Amino acid sequence: MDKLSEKQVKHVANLARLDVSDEKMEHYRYQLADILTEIDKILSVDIKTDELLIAPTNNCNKYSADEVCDMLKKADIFKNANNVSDDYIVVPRVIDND
Amino acid sequence: MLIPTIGIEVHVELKSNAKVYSKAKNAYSNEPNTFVDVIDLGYPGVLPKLNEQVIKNALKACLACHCKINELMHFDRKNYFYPDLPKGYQITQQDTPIGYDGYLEIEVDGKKKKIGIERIHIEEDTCKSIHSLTGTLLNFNRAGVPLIEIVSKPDIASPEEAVAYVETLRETLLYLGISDVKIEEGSMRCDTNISLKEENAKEFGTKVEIKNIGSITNVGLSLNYEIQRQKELINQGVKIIEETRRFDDNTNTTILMRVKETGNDYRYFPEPDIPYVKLPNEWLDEIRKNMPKLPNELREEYKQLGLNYNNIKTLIANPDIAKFLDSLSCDKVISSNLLTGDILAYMNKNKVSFEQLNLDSNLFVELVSMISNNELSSKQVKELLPVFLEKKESPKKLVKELGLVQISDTDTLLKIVRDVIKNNPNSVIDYESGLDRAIKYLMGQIMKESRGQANPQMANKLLLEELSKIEK
Repeated sequence: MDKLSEKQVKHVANLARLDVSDEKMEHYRYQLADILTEIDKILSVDIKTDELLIAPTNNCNKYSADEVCDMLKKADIFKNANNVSDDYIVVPRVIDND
Repeated sequence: MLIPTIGIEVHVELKSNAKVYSKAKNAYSNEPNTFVDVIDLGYPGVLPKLNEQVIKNALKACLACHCKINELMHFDRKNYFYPDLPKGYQITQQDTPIGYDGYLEIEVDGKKKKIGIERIHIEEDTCKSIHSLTGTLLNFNRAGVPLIEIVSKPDIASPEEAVAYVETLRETLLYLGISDVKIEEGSMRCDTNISLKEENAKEFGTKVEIKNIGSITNVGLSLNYEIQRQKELINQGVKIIEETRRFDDNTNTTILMRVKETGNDYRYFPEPDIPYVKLPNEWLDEIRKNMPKLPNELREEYKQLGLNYNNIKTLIANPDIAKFLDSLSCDKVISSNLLTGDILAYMNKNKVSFEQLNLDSNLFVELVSMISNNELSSKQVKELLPVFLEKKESPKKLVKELGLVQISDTDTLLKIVRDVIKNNPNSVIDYESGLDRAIKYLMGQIMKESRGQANPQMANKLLLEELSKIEK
């Protein structure tokens, strides 16, 4: 693959909630295409199986008992937040109206 | 003619001690960000661990909805960037829902219909966002709360059927004891899909999704509005666009929402942090064995017992009362009348729950047998009940204390009957000329003379006998 279209790059950027500047656009068009080329190589390997591999072993899941353990203190949670107000973590407003 | 095709997705919060993938507490708290651990916040390197109680509760829902079960299943990641989900993905079940291909039977205007259930899958709730003017406030107490999503097939043909479906589903989950199912508080949330097509058309019309429906009544209101809106557009020749709208209960209309990504954009892939999940056979056997009686089954039983429509409806809406009734071995009609009538009224008036009432079944049976043996008139029952419910003593004893004993002695009653006939000659003439209300009046006089203590059945019989003698 040569390069992606601008529209494709914008779509991926939107899913990742990223702004892409005009000067970076050209760069990403080639870079993302390179990644897809690599993925095509992986896909071309014939692995001949109908079974979905989701874990490296066939061992099944072990359940967790329905018990409550120690939880985080609010002060510790807030250490990882850029912005807090009273009891809440605050992020930029994510909706336009309402 | 344009006809609607409706499908409903319902999210239900499941009851458990801990959350679905973490050991933080699964409960409501007035204090934000207190029931949270590293897994709920999606810290790097943390691993989810599946709570067994969540699987058991989801299985109950699947079996109650007659679903087939995926005994070997896995989880998937649904990827999207939004601050309510700091991991950047929700752990859900895309390929192998725990239950699929089931149904729920509903009844509308006396007609029964099976609504197909496409799938029931397990997933995690997101954190709660509050949108203020300056920013969005996040409360992670809800993050990781176990949910099941129940997706119906597009079998629903009217807003009335939609309401019946949600109501039947709510009742069923309530009786299973796996959720609070409070729509108003968000522990049950409904999204509907609706499209219109010409009656004979093979293909469905373009569907519109309605979100933010805050009550069962609003399920009906929002669909009615949307059907009308789409009909008008189609009749004007406007093409319906696939979109998400929300219901506004101030105006009873639907409003266009911001469009979120759909389908492929979620880039589902298997969750590598949870190995294959194999359901133990013992769990399925145990759940099948201990399945409680569900509303549809109870409704049929009540009909067989001869209970009336309103009593049945009230009983189904009050599972603890229905359970109490089920445990009794006395006259069910009298019992249900008492429980759904005077006793429920007493509970509402005094703001007590049925559990708080602590009704003793032996004493209750004693009361019912007194009524069925005509030892108490309905007026006396009304007088006795509040005292009975408060004191929790033998109704026989209370009747004596309150002086509510009925006069069932023939000689005493006959004297009262004869006096009443003698003192009301005009009513006797009315009776002879065929006026039914005359007999009611005379009975009223008898009850008055006896200060409400005359056994009504006996007094009525004696009155008719005495009147027939006069006729001769």
